Amino acid sequence: MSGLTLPAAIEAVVIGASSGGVEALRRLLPALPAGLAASVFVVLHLPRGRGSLLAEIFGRVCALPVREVLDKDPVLPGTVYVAPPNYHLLLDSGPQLALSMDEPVEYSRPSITVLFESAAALYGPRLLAVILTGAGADGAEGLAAVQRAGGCCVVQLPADASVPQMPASALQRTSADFVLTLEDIMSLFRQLPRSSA
Amino acid sequence: MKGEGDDGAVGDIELNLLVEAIYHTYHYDFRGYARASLRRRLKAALHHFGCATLSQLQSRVLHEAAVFGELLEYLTVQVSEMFRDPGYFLALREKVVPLLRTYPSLKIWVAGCSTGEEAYSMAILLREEGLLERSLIYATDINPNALRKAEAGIYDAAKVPEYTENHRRSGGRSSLSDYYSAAYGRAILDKSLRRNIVFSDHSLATDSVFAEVQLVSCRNVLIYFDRALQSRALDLFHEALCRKGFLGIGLRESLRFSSHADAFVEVAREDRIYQKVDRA
Amino acid sequence: MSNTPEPSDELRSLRALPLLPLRAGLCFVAAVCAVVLIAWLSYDALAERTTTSLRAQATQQVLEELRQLASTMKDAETGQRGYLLTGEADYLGPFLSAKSTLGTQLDTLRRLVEASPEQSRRAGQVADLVRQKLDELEQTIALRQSGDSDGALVLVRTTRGRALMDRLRELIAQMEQMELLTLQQREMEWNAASERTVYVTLGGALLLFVLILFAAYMTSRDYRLRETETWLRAGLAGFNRRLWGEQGLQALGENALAFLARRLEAPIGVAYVAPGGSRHVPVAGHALSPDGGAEVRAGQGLVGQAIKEARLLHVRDLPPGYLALDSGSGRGDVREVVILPAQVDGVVHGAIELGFLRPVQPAELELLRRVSEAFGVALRTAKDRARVLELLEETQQQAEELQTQQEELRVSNEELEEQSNALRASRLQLENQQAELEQSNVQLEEQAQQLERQRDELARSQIVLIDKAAELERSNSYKSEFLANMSHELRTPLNSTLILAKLLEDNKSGNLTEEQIKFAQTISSAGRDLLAIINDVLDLAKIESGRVEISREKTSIAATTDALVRTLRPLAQEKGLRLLCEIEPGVPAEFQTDPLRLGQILRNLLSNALKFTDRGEVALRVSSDSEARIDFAVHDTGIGIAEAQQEVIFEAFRQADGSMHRKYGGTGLGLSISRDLARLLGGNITLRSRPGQGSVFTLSLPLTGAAEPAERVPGTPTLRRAVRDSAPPAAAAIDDDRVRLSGDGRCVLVIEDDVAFATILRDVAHEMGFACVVAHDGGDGLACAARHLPLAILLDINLPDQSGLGVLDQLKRDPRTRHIPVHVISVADYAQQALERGAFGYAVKPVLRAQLVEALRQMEAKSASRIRSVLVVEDNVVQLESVRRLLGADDVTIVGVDSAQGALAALQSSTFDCMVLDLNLPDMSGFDLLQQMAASEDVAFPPVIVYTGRALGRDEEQALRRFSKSIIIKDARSPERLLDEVTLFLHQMESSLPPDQQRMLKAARDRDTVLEGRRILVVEDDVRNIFAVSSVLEPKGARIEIARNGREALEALQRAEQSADQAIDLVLMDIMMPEMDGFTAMRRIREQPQWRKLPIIALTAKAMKDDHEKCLAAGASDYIAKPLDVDKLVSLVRVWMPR
Repeated sequence: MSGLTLPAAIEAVVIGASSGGVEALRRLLPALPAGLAASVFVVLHLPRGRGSLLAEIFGRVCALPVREVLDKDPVLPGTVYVAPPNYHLLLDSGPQLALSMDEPVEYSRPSITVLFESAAALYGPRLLAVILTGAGADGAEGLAAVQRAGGCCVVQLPADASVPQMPASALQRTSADFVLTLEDIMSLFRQLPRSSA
Repeated sequence: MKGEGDDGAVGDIELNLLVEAIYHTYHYDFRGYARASLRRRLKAALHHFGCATLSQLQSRVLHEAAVFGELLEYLTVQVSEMFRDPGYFLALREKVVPLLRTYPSLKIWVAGCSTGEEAYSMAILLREEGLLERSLIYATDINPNALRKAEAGIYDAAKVPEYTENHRRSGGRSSLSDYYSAAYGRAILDKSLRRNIVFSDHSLATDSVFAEVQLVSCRNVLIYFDRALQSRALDLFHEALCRKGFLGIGLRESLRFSSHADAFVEVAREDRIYQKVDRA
Repeated sequence: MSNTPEPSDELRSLRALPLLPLRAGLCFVAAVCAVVLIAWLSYDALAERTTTSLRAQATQQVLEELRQLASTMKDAETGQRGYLLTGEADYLGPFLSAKSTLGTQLDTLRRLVEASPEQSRRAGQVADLVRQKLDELEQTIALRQSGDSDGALVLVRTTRGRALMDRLRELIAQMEQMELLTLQQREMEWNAASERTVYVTLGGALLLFVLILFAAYMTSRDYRLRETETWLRAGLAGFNRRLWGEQGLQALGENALAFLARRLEAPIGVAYVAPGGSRHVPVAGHALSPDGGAEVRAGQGLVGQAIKEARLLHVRDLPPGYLALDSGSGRGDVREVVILPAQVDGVVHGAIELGFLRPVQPAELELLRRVSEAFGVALRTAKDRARVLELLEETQQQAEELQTQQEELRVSNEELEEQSNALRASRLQLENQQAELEQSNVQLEEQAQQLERQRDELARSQIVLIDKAAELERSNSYKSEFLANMSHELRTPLNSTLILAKLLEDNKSGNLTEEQIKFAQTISSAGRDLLAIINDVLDLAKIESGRVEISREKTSIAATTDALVRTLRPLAQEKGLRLLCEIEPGVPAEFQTDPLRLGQILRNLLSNALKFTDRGEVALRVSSDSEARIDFAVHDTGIGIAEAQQEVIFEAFRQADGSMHRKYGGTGLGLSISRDLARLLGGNITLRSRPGQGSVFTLSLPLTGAAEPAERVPGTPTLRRAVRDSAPPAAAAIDDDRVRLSGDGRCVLVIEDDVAFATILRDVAHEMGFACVVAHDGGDGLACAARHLPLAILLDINLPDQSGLGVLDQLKRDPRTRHIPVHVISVADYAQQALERGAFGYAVKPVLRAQLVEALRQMEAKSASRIRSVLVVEDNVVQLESVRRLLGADDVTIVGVDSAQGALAALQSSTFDCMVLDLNLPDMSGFDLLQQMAASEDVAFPPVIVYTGRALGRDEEQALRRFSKSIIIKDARSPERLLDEVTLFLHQMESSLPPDQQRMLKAARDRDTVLEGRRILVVEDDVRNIFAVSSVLEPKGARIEIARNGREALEALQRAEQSADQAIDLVLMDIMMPEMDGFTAMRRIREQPQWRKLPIIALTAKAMKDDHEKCLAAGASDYIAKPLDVDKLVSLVRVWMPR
């Protein structure tokens, strides 16, 4: 794992997960070091029409503050933002967070692709994008956009994922920089630069 | 903070030019819309019109009115459902309706009503509370097509089970099936609900207040606006509301960007319902 | 010891730890000192005794030596005697040995006694004596030996020997005596030393015994302490062990209690645990009777007290029966009770109560104290753990739930994927179809583009048409302007023509033929006709372009008619007609009007009458049927006019019959001019006629002369927003007090354009001690009101620049002025509208002086009253009382009445700031009451808040809205609204409110309920104007309907009639429109009986007086000139909007 090195100056991390994602994220998010310099955005497919407990659940295990996004929130470093159920999460210049009720993409709202595409446009090569376990094909398109913009693409090894379709779809659509097990992604996360402050 | 490529600076300039062009030509003002969503929708539009760049699309929009008509469908969101966020409607019933009862007649503004689901939900709620007959619901939107659909009040029957569940959770006192009849995969809403709804064209970006109302319900519209336009819209609502009138917004929206933010107090925090108060 | 010092302290104290505890150390030091002392004392005593004994021994020795000396001497003497007697040498042995030992003995003796000088001296004497004796002995012996036995015997028989011996014996006895004395003294000393030694030994032993005892006590105590500590520690450890592990609160309570009960042999006990809050529930009992151990709260009972104070409670003398001990064989009461709160960081988490049959030991109490914290910690930990567990469980549950949901989602995602596969297949199919469709689409698009092009062309030509129409409109107005300006250019050449023709006709030089003279006469006559026509046309144009000026003055009726009749009589006589003039009784001698124009009209009417009458008479009859109007009727017995023609004859350039003016001459413009002039004067001309039976033209003029609409000065286009604070018109100003105002507020504002009347009003005000400011038009009036904030305002309705009702409305909408009472004075009856708009009172001209005085007095009283008063009309006593309670305040007087009659009476007798009205009253309904209030002029109409338990129908509400801006339906939350609204109305002195609140109130008033939801039909073809009007009215809550021309307007009205809630409340009617213009439309509207009262406000494009007249004639209720002034338009709409 020491062979893996991240491109410097990662300002944002976007993570997309679907089925099995709660468990995967509950393992993954604690690996984010306190005082992280980058901002982290998470889209997890959830059934609509229920209050989301994700921020609460992840907040218990994560060293960073975890927030469910409120429209037009400013983006702060070292903070994990979770897309609210039934809203697309987008990043807008500022940077600030934007929500949308547009049609579901790949049957999903929030959609991983929607987040990834807007993040790619905003952060370009300073973006780390991660596709985790899940069914369906959401995120593949978005990961391609991240790659086009020069961002770093990470896909969970399908064999390691509890539901392999989504990482597999992403790999079909794009060549990821890293294809890793969850453990390895955790080590990767531990390498993320901390803020100097 | 811009990335490289088509989505970058040039894309932004093109986007700004396009919305300016639309404003000057068709008087639809998308200039204050949040860019990220707009960019996404225009991307879909580019694909639809077979244009490579927004500049190409702009040229077509400027010279072909029909293209704009089509484009408008892309620019305006038409995603809605009945009794969306049942908690909101439950809070309306419990915390707002008791005060609305003291008015001999009611005016309610459903701003950004899209295809009308929210307006009909409001009408059903008012009927259940015995207030519909003395109410007038102004349901406004900028998309004439959506307004037409709203006036027709015909929806996909496949969604009715979900609506029914929402309605039940919103504290519904009757069965939703009392208000629609379904056939051929469509559900048409009771015409009598229509009597108290006025669907009309109104833009929160350019138009002004048209009536004094006791309740403004504008949910998941502000998310499409940038902060300045949010402020304008919220100021309009403030102006439109009578003394001690109520304002409901989307669950993930806030009043932070209104100059009148301090003229509202929370009535139901989680459900984002506020009341206009006199500032000291 | 129970306190654990901080680790660093512990280390430091360990390093510096003394070998022994201080007290024990001191003890040990004391013991060592005692032993040393005893040893020293013993040694001292011993040494002394040894010395004493040695001395005694020495004395004994001395005695011995002395005895031996004596004996030796005796031996020596004995030997000498024996020898002397026998002469045997054997007897010399003792003597010889004595002689040898005697030296030694004497030395010894001398040595022994050398310490005592006396003895030494004696010893010396002894030695001398011994030597003398020995010498004597030796002499004797030597004598014997020499054989001189007798000499020897003689020598022996001498006393010298015996004396020596006696002296020796005596000396020895003395020495012995001396030595015995010394010995005796030594014995005494020894005895004393012995005694001291005994004492010292005894004392030392005693001290050591004490020390040993003390040491034993200390050791015992330490041991006991250590044992207790060990016991406590073991107890604490045991207790802790019992609480180890993840135990629930109940288990903790049980274990703790069981342990303590066994450890302390407490026969009975209860454990309480606080699961949260101040409630402590018993979780375990030890030998507790079933009824024991109820739930306690802090402060309740002994247990509660212990919990509250958070300290151990030990109760000794328990009352019998406090806690009963039950065994199989009997019952007994416990003697002592210990209650132990489990406390950590000042928070009590539970308690244990133990009962004892014996006194409780302090160590036991200590153990209890110590376990308190451990128990508390355990409980707190258990509680925290329980919470964490709960949270964990919750999280787990949530996570599981989410997992389940995700699983569902996955399944549905997979389903969706399958579906999308299926979709993909069908999409292929669709794509094929699409290709086909695209082809036809291309065709369609081409057609569409073609259509679009056609549409664009149409639009372009429409724009051209609109431009043309506008041009036409412009040229139409240019026409009038042009004509008016042409007078000079037309008359100048015509004048010269006429003069020259006249010269020719006169034939002064006589060189013209008859025929030539006739020609000249014809030229002259034709020229005069032409001039008449031109004059008429110009007159009309002048009137149309608004250039005619009216100057009113007192006009004598008789003088005017006389002059007319005088000038026309010759013409009448010429035609053989009678010309009469009758002035009926009751007609005033003079009135305000423009005498020139009056003459012009009457002359025109009379000359027309003379013209069209061939026989009979022409009569001018002046009458005054009402107080306000005067009629000049011109009767003739001429040809008469057919019904159909009667309207036409007044229209310019048309005559009853084309042949008419050929027969009678004239331009036919005369009547049009007359009618226009009549309107300028505020009157009109009507016609009654039947063909063949003559006609009656009646000019009807107002007596006071001020005919409002016609009076406005057109020509200068109004600004969109009138500048209010403009300088007052200096020309017409009468002398008022505006520059002399003292600032004491006793000032009255008069807004009245009639200088004479304004002067009267000013004088009345002065008489009553008010300063007075006079404004001559609405704009100045509003400016003065805002600037001077007068005590009261007297307002005329007919003002030159705008309607007084509009002024009233603006006064009432301005927060600075809305509290000022306004008394309206007018010629016509606008009482209803004025009062509804908030006028304080109303009077119709002519006004009696007394009325004015009274009005001013009332207004002064109203302004002076600072206490706000609220009239509450409510028949239910309980309700009335509750409303009174709700609204009562220091500066608010609540007057309650229980009937409509009472309300009317109250309103008549005093003025109220606000009225709260229940609709259900015993004597009449609230509606009727409001209507009566509106109808009767002597009742003030305060703002009304309708407070009703009845749900209102739409019509009912509409009806109520006419009178009340605020309607509250009684419900759970209505009292707060009532309070709110009343407070709002009572805040009439708004200028003293904070600016924010004022702004808020202003904003609230801007959405005036008068326009709220009212439907206004805007009939206008110009989109920009539609936009302008809508943007003004829609924000006020009005609903705008649009019609593009008169025909559409009629259709819209018809359509609206079909449903009650669509009914049009007011029409804004443009005049110049395609298809059907505004005049026609208005006439057609008025033809329908149901629309007779529909308010129509005409929008006149030009400042043409004639337009205004025509508008009113066509049925407009009022008019407003474009470009539109926003405030005026709103005020006007407000005024005319039916309530």
